Amino acid sequence: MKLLKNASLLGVLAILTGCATVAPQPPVGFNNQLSSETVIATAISDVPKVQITYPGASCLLCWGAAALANGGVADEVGKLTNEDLAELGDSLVSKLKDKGLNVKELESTWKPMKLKKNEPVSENEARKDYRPLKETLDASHLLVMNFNYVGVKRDYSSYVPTSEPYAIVEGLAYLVNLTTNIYEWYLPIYQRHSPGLEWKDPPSYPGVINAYYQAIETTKDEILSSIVTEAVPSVASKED
Amino acid sequence: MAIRILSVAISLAVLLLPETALAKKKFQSLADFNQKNEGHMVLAMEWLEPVTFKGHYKAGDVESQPGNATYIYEPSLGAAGPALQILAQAIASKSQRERKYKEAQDSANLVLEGHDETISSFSHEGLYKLFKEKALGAGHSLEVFNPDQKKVDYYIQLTPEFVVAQDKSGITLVNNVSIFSGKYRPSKKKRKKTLFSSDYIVVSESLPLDSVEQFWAADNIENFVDFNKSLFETSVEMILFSMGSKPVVNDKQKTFRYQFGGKTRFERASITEFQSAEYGCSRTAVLTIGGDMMSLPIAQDSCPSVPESPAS
Repeated sequence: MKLLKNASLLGVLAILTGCATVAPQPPVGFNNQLSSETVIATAISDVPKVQITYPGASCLLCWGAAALANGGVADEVGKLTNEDLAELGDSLVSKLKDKGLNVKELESTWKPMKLKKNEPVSENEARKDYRPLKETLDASHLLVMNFNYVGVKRDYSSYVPTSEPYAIVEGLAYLVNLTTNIYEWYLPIYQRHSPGLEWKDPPSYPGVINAYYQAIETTKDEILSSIVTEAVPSVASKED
Repeated sequence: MAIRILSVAISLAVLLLPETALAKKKFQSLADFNQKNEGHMVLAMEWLEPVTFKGHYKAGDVESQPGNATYIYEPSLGAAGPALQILAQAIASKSQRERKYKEAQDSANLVLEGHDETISSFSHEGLYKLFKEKALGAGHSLEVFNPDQKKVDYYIQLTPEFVVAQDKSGITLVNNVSIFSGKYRPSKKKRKKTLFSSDYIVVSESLPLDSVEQFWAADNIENFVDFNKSLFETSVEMILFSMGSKPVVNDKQKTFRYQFGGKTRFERASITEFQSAEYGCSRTAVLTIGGDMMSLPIAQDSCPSVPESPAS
């Protein structure tokens, strides 16, 4: 009886915690009203290597079959470089400087110290407490940009492809105010581009490769267009 | 058993046949073809068909190359073996994709509704005259394919298609050049193996949106024809340029951006040495990663700056 009671209690707990999923942070536009006194520490991670994967080809044999079937495209994807996207970090920093903001560039390998959890009480407040970094970094804001995936994917259901290969860039860029712990920019990056009518065009698979570069360009546009190049008002002119 | 022996015998016979009896050698470029034929061309066009105009369409999540679409196949053969699953998928997805593309194209073609008179005024004959004039001017000799002729060594088939943006502000000409040998077969299905095929693509400048309706109006046919002829002319110049020498790229690959139908489009390509005489520095000719030549409405970086007019 006791066992039954415990099991039902566990079941109720599982249901309750299952329902209490945290809503994802919605995108926040870049705060283009930052003052010239703002110091932004930028943490821009290295762009991952270009790759091709087969989501849904879940067993080892399925993955092998998918890799074999897509060998030609995989060879071409393997030749691609991420240098066009790697330049984005520099462009982003230049754009911030052009606005008259002070930028402190952190190493690409920089990782924040273990941050405590934060219970958000206001809109766009981060779920981690970034405030201790204000002193550590000697900055008013932290800008982070990283990419989780750059390359091509082809969806599978076991042995069966359920999509054409498509180019994809996934990542996240955000700016957090280290005094208020509020996001002043939050941009989940998800650029998915499909190739043209005849993607099966060996040996160079131009449709797939072109889609990859299209994804890179639209990612660059999405990130850079968030920041208005207009110079920020200086504190002195504000006082005037 | 007898069938198996027969099939082995047929396979051996095919393997032992001299190569020339099976197929003519493929050409690597138009320059190869031109060299072999010493500047002589036998030209075939779909004379009796109206010039093809199509609507440009988008499908899926992005506006990109024509035909952009993904297909979803939900396999219901979970318990079947992998080979059967893959085979079933291949059959289903091909027909599914073809149907999807056809539907997208049919719906995109609605953009041409009401412009029959304007479009039908534009004939293949006019395009042929233009091609002939340019080819003869470039020192080629030209012969029109005579359908009564039994066969020729090689013939060039030009298939121009004008793709219209959904806001009608731009037209892209895709001029396919293919080389075949033997008897002329208008139907693609009956045609023998292609010995060479490449697209020569010309993207028009975007029309200002307030002049689009006027451009397509029936009383503006002359301008409409001239506009499209100039696209064709550029494609012919690129074709003839390619016959002289394989397009040499003088720059590393980069991603070019251009406007079409109010949207930015992207093409990974290299700049070629071709420069259209008519368009001067306002356009860039590139060689795409698929090996097609494209003339884009973007100014060349390497063009000399316009000299300032002397002060009066």
